[in-house]
Amino acid sequence: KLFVSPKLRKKNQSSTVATLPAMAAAAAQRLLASSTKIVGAGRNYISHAKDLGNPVLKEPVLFLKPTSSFLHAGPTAGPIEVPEPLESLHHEVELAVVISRRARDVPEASAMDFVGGYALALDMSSNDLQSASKSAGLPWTLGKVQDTFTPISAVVPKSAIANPYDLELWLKVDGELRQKGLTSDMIFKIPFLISYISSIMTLMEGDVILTGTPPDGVGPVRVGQKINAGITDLIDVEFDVERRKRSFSY
Amino acid sequence: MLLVVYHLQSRSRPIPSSQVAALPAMAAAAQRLLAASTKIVGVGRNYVAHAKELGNPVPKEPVLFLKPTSSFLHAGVATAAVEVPEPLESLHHEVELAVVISRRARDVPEASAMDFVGGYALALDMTARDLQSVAKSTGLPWTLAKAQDTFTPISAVVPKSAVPNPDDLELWLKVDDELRQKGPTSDMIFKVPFLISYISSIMTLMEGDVILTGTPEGVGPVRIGQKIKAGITGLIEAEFDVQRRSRTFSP
Repeated sequence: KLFVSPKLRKKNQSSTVATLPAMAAAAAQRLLASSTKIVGAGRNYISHAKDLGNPVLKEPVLFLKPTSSFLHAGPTAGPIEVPEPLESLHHEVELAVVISRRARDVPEASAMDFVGGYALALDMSSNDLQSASKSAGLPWTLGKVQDTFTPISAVVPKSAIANPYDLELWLKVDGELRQKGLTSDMIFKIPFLISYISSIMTLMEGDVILTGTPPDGVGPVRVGQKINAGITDLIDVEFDVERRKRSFSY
Repeated sequence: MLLVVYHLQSRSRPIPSSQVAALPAMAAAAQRLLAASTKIVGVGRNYVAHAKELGNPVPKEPVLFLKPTSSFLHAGVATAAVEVPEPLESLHHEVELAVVISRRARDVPEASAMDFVGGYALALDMTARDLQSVAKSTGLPWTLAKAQDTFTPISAVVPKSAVPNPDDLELWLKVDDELRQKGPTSDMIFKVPFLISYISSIMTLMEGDVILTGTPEGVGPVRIGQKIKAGITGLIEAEFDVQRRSRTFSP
């Protein structure tokens, strides 16, 4: 049975007008519930800073985050949890693509047929743990995969975004603007990412691709601070940042 | 259900009769666990001799990496095939004891950790070694080397009750009937309870999640056209062909 959000019902007077957007929104949200993995694309935005010397990539840098790292936005959402002994995490605001159905070896020309929706996500990272891993040639795991390290908004159905390269991503910490960028600065675009990733691993319904972050303005957020972020005129989310408390239940 | 029981009995010594009556239900429950899996957590360099054979330092903490559930290749009645992607000609085999988690586990103390084990399996952590070396030297993730489809061949799940002591098992692997790896799980550096405790302090483990607990020495290449047989002595074995991956798109 389809659940129609009371908010949507209130906004639309006519029941026939309300039905299609409500159905699409509910279907998009259910996609995320079946997610089996999160695939991040690193270094996927052009930098406008003059002194960043990152080499131009020939292929996307892919890393995995587990679904246990999701932190779903909402009125009852918990905080982003900073594990001891860290005092801060780095925030990275990203456009997330949610896959609609099983995708394997997808050609770029068909790739958008496999998109079910979009969301606003944060790829929270521990810079300290990640730097240590990189210099030792170790996997990026500890810095990226911890619980609550992938805050994510509700899913917006694909039909709600005519052009994913015409969006503005923004992020504030305690009301102060830290990141602001345009998805037109994405280096490897969504069809290429879906094609490339699906040639390495099968993407399943609900799988999420984090498409990268505008690098200028990536920085630390400390325990006790609050993050607001969004896609201008489309999505708004808010997360507190708190110290993680360890809790075991049998 | 019957198929799973047959598969176990055809591949291992008979289970003691006191457990036979309970076996089908337990085996089916253990297999269902794997179907719920949300992630595979690999533990690198968890056997001293294996760390040394690759020239790696012996770690002070477990080295963890992720493999997606899309990489599972389930052993079956028809021989399953590991797929080698172009332009590679071979992959490295790594035979491992896989631990299957029985229920949600977060911040689990070592003393309680075995309560969260639902079963065990024989798994292979197939690795594109050259791609891994490139990733290590450039500080990049291990994704291409570890996460591709069919890179985690896995046997049926053996219920926990069939394994009184996971530290007392022998892992073995043959390529075209030539023994390549053989080692006791007693050589594991970080034992199963510690691994569950450590990993669950970093990320919540869910029912069905799989921990690959590391591989003994003897890792090496297996080429397209060869056949892998591997197992846990007296418990379970599995067989996998190695083929060239053919790319197939269905719209």
